[in-house]
Amino acid sequence: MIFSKNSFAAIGWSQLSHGRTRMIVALCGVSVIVAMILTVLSLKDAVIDSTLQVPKSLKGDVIILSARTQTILRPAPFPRRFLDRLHGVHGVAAVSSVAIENARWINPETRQEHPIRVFGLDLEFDVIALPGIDPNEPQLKLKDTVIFDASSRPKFGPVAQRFESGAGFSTEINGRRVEVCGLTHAGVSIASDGNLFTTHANFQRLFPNLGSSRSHIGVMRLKNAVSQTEVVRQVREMLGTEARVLTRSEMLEAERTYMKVNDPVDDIMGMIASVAFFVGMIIVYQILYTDVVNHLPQFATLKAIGFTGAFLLGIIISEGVILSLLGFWPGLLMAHGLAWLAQEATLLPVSITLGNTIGVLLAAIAMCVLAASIAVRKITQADPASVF
Amino acid sequence: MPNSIVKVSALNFSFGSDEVRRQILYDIHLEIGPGEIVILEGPSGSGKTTLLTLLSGLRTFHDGSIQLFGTEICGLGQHELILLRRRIGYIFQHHNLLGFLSARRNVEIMFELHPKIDRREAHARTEEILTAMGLHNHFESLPNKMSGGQRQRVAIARALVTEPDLILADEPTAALDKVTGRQVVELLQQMSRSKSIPILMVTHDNRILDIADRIVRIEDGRLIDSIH
Repeated sequence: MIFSKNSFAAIGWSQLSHGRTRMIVALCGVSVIVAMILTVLSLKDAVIDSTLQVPKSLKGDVIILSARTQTILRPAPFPRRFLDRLHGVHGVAAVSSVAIENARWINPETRQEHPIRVFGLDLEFDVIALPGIDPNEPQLKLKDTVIFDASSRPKFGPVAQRFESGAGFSTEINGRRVEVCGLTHAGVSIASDGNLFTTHANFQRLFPNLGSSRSHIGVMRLKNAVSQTEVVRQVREMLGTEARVLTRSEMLEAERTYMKVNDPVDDIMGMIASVAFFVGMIIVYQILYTDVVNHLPQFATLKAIGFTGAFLLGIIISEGVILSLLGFWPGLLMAHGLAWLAQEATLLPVSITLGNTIGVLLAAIAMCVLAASIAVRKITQADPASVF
Repeated sequence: MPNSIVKVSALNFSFGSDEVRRQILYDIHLEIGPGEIVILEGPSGSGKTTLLTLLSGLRTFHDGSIQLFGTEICGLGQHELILLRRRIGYIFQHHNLLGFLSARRNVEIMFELHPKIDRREAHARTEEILTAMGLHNHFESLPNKMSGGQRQRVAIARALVTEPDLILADEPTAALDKVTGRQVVELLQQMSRSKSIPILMVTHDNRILDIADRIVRIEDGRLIDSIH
């Protein structure tokens, strides 16, 4: 029935395509809204993903943080001796400490100072899984050397280009001359525009006033065949209320939750997407409403000669579905273009996932069907007795 | 008449209630037999159109009785009324064709109400009736590309194509000139005769009264029967 050439769907299509200009306007509206929602959602994911990039690369089974630390991106310090005590716990293979501070990096080209995030690592422990951070790299063991995150924003200077061309790159960090000895890719986030990775010894040299007894993140690896929950329970007991002890997956989950609750980016992006949804709905509603009003006497006639309200409803709802299905594809194309532009501009890993694509397709259908079902209420006013 | 298609008896109808109540029809008795062409004439405001909407089941009434094809429609549910309405062919003063559909599809759409009729048969019957209406060159024309007479002929084709058991026509010539109006009514008469479909036609066009078997006059809501 639905595919016959006079089904309500076919009539909906005829009605839409008859007003060609109006249909094109509606399709443009749907496309732009689809592109907007999809780009915003992808940006939102990119922000959360990029924020989680460094936490994700930590190579440990259990993570220890200060009780005051809300997010691993802005960790509060805790005494390093907390970690030393953990070697005695049964099942613990190794414990390592990561120190994090912001330093002042000078771009040698512009002589401007920019804050950059410095990670102090135990290289022997192999604490972080990022390309280019090789624990056996002898260069890194030298005094005043750092690995630079090549995904950092360009404001830090042409570090990667110069390093790769073999010219070497050195600059001043916190008043010390430091040499870049390698490149990695960690990615920027809303918490940092650029990252440096170095040994604890070099970290100490950059922040001489902080003392060597401070740690920010404890990374613990367990022996095979021990119960993770049992070790976590023991460590929690041992450190008491002064530390947060999390398994790796708990830590990642906590970071995601923190982002959603505390970072306005999630709410803002979500709000923009919902506003776009409503604007799209209003555009489609306006166009379908005009269509309904212009054909009210004809719809009343159809009712009078025996068509049901459901048939007329079907005509308008099909128009909505057709608009969403046709408007989606150009919108998807636009979104890919916008995502590419956004990635170029922000260096965030903006990608349009299949999940988001399907989600937005469903949202577009919902948007148009909702608009159609509001527009269709006017049809109930088409009084069949009025056609006589 | 034992096999009457339409049987109206003791029908009273009024708009509004209490003080603003205005009675439109008084004690109407009317019967239409198989194949009969009845013209209902009368001045405007006499209640002709109201009677048509009541016969179509588009308004509810409480006082009196209307039987269509032997079924009492007073108190019938919406769904039963719609099913009954599908057995009637309607012709309105204005053609009310869907502007975005061709003549063919405006007629063929009627078969959506009769899904049991095979698609190929629907197609053939549509072409047959449009040809009979002299529209063989206009199958694919949109309504705004046709003349007023042609549009009204498409509307008549739409009313007839599913071979209804009754045709209700409301001033079908009102929007047409004398010659075209005459042609349209003669076509209607011819179709009615060949398929033996009864017609109740409301009109105050004196030029077409001669096609009727019987003329019924309505004045101030009361019927004055007169044999033609």
